[in-house]
Amino acid sequence: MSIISSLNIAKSALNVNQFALTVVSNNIANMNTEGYLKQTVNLEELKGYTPYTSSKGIQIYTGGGVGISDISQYTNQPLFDYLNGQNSIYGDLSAQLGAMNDLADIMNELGDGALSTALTEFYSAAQRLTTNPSDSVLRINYVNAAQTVAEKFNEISNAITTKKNDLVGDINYPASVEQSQAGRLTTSANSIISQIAQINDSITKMSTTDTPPSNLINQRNQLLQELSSIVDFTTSSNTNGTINISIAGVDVVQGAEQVAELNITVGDADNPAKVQIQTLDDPPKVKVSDISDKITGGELKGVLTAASSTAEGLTYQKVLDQINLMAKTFAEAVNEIQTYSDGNTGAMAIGIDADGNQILVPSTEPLFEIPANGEFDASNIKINQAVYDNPNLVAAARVEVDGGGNPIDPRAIGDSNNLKEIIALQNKNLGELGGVTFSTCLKNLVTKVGLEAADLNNQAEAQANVVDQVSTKYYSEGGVNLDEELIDMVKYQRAYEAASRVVSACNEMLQVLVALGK
Amino acid sequence: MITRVSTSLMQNNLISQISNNQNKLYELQIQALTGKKVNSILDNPVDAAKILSVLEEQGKVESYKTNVNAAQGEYEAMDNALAIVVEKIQRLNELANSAGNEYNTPENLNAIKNEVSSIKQTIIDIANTQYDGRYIFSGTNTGTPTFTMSDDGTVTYGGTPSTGDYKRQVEVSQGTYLTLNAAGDSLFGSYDAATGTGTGIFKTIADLEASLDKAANEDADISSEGFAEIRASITSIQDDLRNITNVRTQYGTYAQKADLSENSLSDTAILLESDRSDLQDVDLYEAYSNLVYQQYALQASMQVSAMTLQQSSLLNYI
Repeated sequence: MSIISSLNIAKSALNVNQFALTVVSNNIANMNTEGYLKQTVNLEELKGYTPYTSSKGIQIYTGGGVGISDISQYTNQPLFDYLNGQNSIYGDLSAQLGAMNDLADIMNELGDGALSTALTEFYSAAQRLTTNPSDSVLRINYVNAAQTVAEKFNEISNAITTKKNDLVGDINYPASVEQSQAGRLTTSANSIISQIAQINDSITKMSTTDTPPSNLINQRNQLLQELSSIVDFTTSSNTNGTINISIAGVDVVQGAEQVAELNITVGDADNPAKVQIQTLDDPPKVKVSDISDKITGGELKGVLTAASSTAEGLTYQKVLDQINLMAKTFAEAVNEIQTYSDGNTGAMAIGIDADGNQILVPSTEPLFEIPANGEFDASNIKINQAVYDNPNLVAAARVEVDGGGNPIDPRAIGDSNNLKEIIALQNKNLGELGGVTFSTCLKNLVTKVGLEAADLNNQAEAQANVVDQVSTKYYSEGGVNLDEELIDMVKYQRAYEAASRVVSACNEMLQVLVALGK
Repeated sequence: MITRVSTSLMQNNLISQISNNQNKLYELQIQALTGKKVNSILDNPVDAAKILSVLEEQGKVESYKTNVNAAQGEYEAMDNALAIVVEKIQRLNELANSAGNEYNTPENLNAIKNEVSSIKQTIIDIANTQYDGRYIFSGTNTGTPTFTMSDDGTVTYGGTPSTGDYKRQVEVSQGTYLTLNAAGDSLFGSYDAATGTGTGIFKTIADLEASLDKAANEDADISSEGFAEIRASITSIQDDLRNITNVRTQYGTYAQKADLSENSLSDTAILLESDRSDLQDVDLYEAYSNLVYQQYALQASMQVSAMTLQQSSLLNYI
């Protein structure tokens, strides 16, 4: 037993508390670092022997000071995996919700310039034209109203297609697939995967004991969480601290090595973008040709679902198909009336006779230009330029015709029987649209989009709550609490102060000893 | 149950609480500013569909109103025209009455004939009345003058025949139409000078003119035959007058129907607007008080945040 051993013990206390303060300092420094988990210094008594003979003649021992057994960090792997799983589900829902909200904005029939407003205006223009069928101003008004309807269809089709192309690219321009949202998500997923492989590599190099460096684990966990919002995956741990990641049932990271990556390619009309998993070999070998059915979550899943024609639920393509059907039905129904002829009666436009008088002539020009491929859709419906230039070509009249299809009395320019047929379209149940009126069909579609968006919104909100709760639980158990750190700081500071007092006490005792020796 | 709370989590929570409150405030502001609670189909998809139905109905009612107004204009033009015609036929009646007196000198008769001819011309002019650029008595031949008179006195009808289905109609409620036009041939008839045949007032006038010429003849027999014809023509004049008055009354009924339609359409418009308002408009008192309440909530969450961030830390005490 010596004073020196007391000094040594005090020295260990000084070292340890100083180091503990470093850990506290690091905790405080990282209190706002995303994904950082609090580190805790675990102290233990050092096994030194400083024997002393007791009055009963027995050797008694005291410890050898303080040491640091390890620095522990909060881990709850099952909770972390669960958090990532929930995060993936949320990513899927939020991507679908974003897409559906965009769709709802496009289909917002309550806003300005809605399709239903354009249609109502069209029928109003037809009604007004019945009051004076030969009036050129009312004819121009009617033609313009028809043009507005066509333009509205074009706008909606255009907006939906653009949004869809934003998601998965345009199948006609392969380069656009990589620029699309799905392409960007694939790129970031690949970047995260390769970073994780690098961290795994660093861990194998640095880790000399069973506990890998906590800062690398923190980084890797953060990356895993980012990856989980893009695509769902499963992990498995290796004994050396590295992890394997597999997406869609195929390993992409095996320990320190990245073995495969995601690759986005042009798909087909139903699914314009296909995400594959391929090896890093040159040329790469495709391991999964289309992951969309094999993954269950993440934004990538949501984006691919929203843009797919074959996925369940209301997708962009399905809405577009419905809009196309309506455009086709509308254009064909109007054109049929515009150029109607059954041998007894016929639709009549206004022409000019030799004396310059207005007379009825058989109507041959359709109101909507027949597209090159003969199939109307929302993108190609447009007003017939000939009718636009000469609104007299609008067939307002439907009168009796002779054998040659010519009107029996060509002077009847005040007849509006053909317009009556146009107006009747407004309330007519159309077989092409499933036996409902045009406006009911549009309303149904709009309601479906709205309800789908509302439903997704509820689901996403609920899922956000789940993620929040799990994340709160995970990070409230593992995150930095400033008050706690401050208390630790004071605790170690005071211990350091006390140990230094022990040193000075030992010093005084040594001085006394030295003085004794004089 | 959370037993431990990390500081950044607490701060993040504060931020998300504030932004939640801000979002709600924003929604309420939009509602208060637009006065509408359903601004987008996302706000309430089912009500949005109902609103769309109401908007469509409103569009229809607007069209019907325009149609009714057009019909009313045309009826008024028609009634004004027929009022003048009736007046002229009554004058014709007076002239025939006075011309029937055998003491009339040939000069008198000539003067009367001149007035009769001028009345014929006036009736033709009136029958050719245009409203909003169209001949209202020409049936569907709205671009063709109703009557043209050639030099020999033939009056030709240019419109569509009253016997066929040549109605100009406008819709005033779904499936209900108002007929705008009265055919000129049934109202005024026509006259062919070559054969001396015709119908209606034009035939009557042509006959009267011929009778006046006869009455002015030097031959006493022919003259007295002419006077007799003149007296007899009064019956035809009154028949024609009755015919025109009947048609005028009939269209007066149509005009009343148009007025009724206008009233009921106005009522419907009010009902539809109130339906739309119920579905779409926000109760402003409610919106305003919600807005104020939400402002307090936001303020409170900010105060709490400030307190938590600044004061609730050991840093202030060590």
